[in-house]
Amino acid sequence: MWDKKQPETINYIIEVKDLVYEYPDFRALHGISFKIKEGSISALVGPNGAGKTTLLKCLAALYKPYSGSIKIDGIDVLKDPRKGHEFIGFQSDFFGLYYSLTPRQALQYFAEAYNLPADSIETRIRDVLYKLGLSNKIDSKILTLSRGMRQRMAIAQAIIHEPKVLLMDEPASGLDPEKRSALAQLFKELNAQGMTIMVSSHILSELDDYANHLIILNNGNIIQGKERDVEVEKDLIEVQMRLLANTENLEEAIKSIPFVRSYEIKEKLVNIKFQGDLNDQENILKTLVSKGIPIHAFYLRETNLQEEYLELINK
Amino acid sequence: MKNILAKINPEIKKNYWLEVSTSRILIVVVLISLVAGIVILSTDTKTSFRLARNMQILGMSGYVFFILLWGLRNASNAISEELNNRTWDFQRMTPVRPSTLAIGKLFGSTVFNWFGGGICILIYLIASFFSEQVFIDLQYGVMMLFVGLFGHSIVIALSLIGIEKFRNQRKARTGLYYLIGLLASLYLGYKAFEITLAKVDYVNWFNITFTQNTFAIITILFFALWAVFALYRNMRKELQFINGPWGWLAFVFSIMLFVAGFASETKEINFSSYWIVGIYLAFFAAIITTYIMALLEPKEMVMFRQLIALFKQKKFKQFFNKLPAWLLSLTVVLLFIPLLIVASIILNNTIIPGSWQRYVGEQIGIHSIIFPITILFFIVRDLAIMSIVNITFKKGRKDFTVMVLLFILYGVLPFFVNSITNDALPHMFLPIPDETMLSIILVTPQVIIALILLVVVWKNNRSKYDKINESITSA
Repeated sequence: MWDKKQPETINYIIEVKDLVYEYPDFRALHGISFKIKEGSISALVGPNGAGKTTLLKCLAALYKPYSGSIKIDGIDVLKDPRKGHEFIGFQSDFFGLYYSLTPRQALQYFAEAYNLPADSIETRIRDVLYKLGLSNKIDSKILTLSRGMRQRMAIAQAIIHEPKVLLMDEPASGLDPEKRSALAQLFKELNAQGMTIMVSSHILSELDDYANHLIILNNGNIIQGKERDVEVEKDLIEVQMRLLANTENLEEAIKSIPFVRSYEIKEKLVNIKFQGDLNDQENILKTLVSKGIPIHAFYLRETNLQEEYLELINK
Repeated sequence: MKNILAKINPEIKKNYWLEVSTSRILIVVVLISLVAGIVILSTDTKTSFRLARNMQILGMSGYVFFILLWGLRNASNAISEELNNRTWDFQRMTPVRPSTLAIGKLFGSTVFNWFGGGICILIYLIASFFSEQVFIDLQYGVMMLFVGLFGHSIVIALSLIGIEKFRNQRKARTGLYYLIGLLASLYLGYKAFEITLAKVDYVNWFNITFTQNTFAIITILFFALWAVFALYRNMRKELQFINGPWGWLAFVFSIMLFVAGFASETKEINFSSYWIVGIYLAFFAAIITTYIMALLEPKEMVMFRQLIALFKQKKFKQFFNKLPAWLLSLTVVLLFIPLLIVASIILNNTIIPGSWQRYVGEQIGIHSIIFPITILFFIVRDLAIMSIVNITFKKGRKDFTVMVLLFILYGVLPFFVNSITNDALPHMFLPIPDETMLSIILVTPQVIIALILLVVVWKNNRSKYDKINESITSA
């Protein structure tokens, strides 16, 4: 795979090395390693039972793994989980709410438990509830809130202490498309404020337009971990072509096209990503044919995270 | 009121919001007032002692209802409800101090019970000032406050110990812990009640004579403080602090010391038998803590494997920090065996007073060297059975199964065997301290079989585990 982007100095906020987690009768994580960039939104995807929840709970320093190491913002959270909790927010796959309390009471409890200064608590509660669109429900019992509102309330609990890293397990499960879209918007806003977010899900369509890092987990192993530039990828067009035969000058020919951003060659199948319009698409074809590339099929390819994921899982 | 609570403890404040409402307060106040009114009206007030007595009964009954019957239920749910509502992880993510959360759970989960129970105990204490035996009744009231504290602490501590098991279950159930807490509290409560029966009695402990009242207060306070300490230590563990082995060892040694003191209870005891009985009592106390904790704590293969790995890597500090309480108690038991052997040699030919003979034997002699080893064999057999059940059964009530097995081994089988006239058979099921040495002969094959089974089950499970993971990795 070739990419025109230049390497940059990367600040990793999460560093996981050789992580093994064992339940009494099976190993849930098989020595996985990965790194997450500061300020990214990572999608942790995989089928049910892949180990997503276990991994997130290890990252949140709630589970002690059998072996391996986890560093978050330079802190070894397995050695000092309490220190880690100061800057990690975690929302589990269940909301975890006190239904008989009001959002104000619940958030006040967590703010006090997080030792926030007493004089800033009220302002912080109002601020968080405003961001999450729950201001008008501040004194209603949580029990009376809709599912979407409860979901946001759970997020409010997880971010009351302004964590640097927010870990969320299946946050959109059970939400309708409109609420999912609002949730995606919320993640982008939190991310814009500097929060690094990791979201696990097995519903991939929702992750497509905000996740810029993808980790695919299957049977406790990472089968892919890669960066995705969501904004750039949105503007990119991908074409796929099939060749009659491989030619030596194929790569050279592709690289000569100035607006091509990246390409991938798998035997007689070539994927090219470029920035441009239909005319540029035509130009690619013209250039390659003129350079003697034996193309017998050339078509637009619309891939998304879901297709990418299914392709990898099915492998 | 709310602001004061906020400054003290957020957990108590949260529980206050969850549990206390104006209507609930009114209902309790009205109910207690109504019952008190009925008691006053129906009592012949000319005899003030009788009115005081009736009000004491009302106060104490209400206290037992609010604090023991109902309060223990709420205390036993303090952790399990958080687990079932998935709020426990949110709490564990906060940097709240273990002491804050422990106190918060102790008085927060039962805040309403303490409100109702508080009114009732106040009625009891006020009525006690007008009773026939003011000081003794006041003492009893104070003891019952400690009994409540003991019961609540112990059930929350037990729930915290059980968390590892609950994590693998869909729903955390704490009915057993409630029952244990209730029975233990009612027993202590009954012991406290005995002192009000105006029968002056004495307790001889380490040859020091106490009145029954004083001893009961010290004992209840001793257990209440250890229960609060257990709650605090287990909260620390749950909030991922490293406890180390010393807290548990201190508890085990204090219980051993406490129990050993009763060796002087038998008046006819002489110096030699006093020592040997004392050491044996301490030894039995350590064994009981081993069994209790072995039944309560998780015994998963992952834990054993981690311990073995730490030991092989010579990370002894981490090894001891990770050792479950039952293995620590077992270590104490093992260390006591040489002491018992030496004591048996030194105190050879000591005659044991009648009341202790069934535990220690009629006379200390060469056979007494074998007796602690026999006991150890029984312990090893039982722990092997516990481990086999825990490794073999993936789900279900593993510890309940173990309890049933132990009940059959120590209760049902000896009962049937006793009805048969073969004198040798009881030795097969119980360590009997006599000169025949039959117990050790009959238990040895049982230990060997149990250990072989354990090794087989371990290897089977390990290879099955490896196969599963191999197929997952290669998938």
